[in-house]
Amino acid sequence: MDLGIVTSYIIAGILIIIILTVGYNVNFSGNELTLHESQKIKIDAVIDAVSYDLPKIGYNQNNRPDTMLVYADSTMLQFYSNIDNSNDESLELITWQFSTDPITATDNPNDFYLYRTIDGTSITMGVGITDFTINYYDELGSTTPLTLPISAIGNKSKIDSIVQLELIIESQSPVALQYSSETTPRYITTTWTKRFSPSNLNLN
Amino acid sequence: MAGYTEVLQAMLAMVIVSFLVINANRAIVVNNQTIVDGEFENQIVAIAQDFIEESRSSTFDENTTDGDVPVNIPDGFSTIGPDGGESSRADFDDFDDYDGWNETITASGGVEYEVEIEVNYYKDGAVSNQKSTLKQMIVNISSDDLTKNGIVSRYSFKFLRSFYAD
Repeated sequence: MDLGIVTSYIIAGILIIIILTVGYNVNFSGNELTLHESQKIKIDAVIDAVSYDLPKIGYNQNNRPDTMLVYADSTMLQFYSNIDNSNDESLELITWQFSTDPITATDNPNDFYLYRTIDGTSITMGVGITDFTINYYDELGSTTPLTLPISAIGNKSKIDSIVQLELIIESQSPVALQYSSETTPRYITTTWTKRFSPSNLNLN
Repeated sequence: MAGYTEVLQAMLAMVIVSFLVINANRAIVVNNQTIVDGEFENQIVAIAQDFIEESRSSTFDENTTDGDVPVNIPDGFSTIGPDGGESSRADFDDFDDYDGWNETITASGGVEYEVEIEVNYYKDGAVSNQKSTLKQMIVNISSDDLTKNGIVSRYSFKFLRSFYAD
């Protein structure tokens, strides 16, 4: 067989492998981007809800409630606010709780349900949240969080000293991607951290 | 020359495939950059909001911290900048105390963000040296990990606060 033909066959084989690999890589990267963007849209819904509630801690039309924060823990926050801005100035008890109830509808074993409860009525958020941590500070800009949990019943002066809350939300895709060279599947992760300085807490 | 035609064709195919590979790699880099930039920019917006909300929770001016209002407005307002004994965010008690504040914030993932804040009086649609009932805060944020074409990207957020809106 002619040496030139053999060489060209070898080169053609290499080129086919390269084309297949490139196609796989582009496809993988596209999937990664799509999963990340869809996960960001999901987590944005949670961020919107949290960003609506937390600045209104202790809000009322005329007078602040005596007890604003009821319970503060790393995965649970309970507070009073006239969240619906009702003219009768009735306060609602709002609870944000990151549960240990796993989301069974997804392949991801790390995601759990987040609950937003207003006066006993819960909204369940199953959008792939894998971490929902709240830190509490008694000084603006402080880097030393308070020791938790704190309850208004057990330690009102301590819970009233809170002026700032830091929220860390991590969310992962419902399905994993596994690159050919990786040994374990990888869930696409997005993280968001924000400090809230509710006006009413800073009037103490 | 028998067989060499095939080699030449194979070499031509290699050139074409190399263009394909370069473009595919470029697409992958753009995808990765989109993911990383999105994460960074989300965090940068959150950090800027942190400072704006925090400063909003304090009073408009040093001379209104006791709940009183200066007799002459705006001449009775203080000069911009932190006042005596105010050296940290915990000490700041009015909006313009944040002027000149610099801080490095480490967010989740260990990414560091440089924050620089300036506050000025604002009058007739522009920053002013004269006292007025408006103050503008500019929060500038950058990160060495967030560059475009080798240049560190700098994000600026402006917030205008009115004395009468408090």
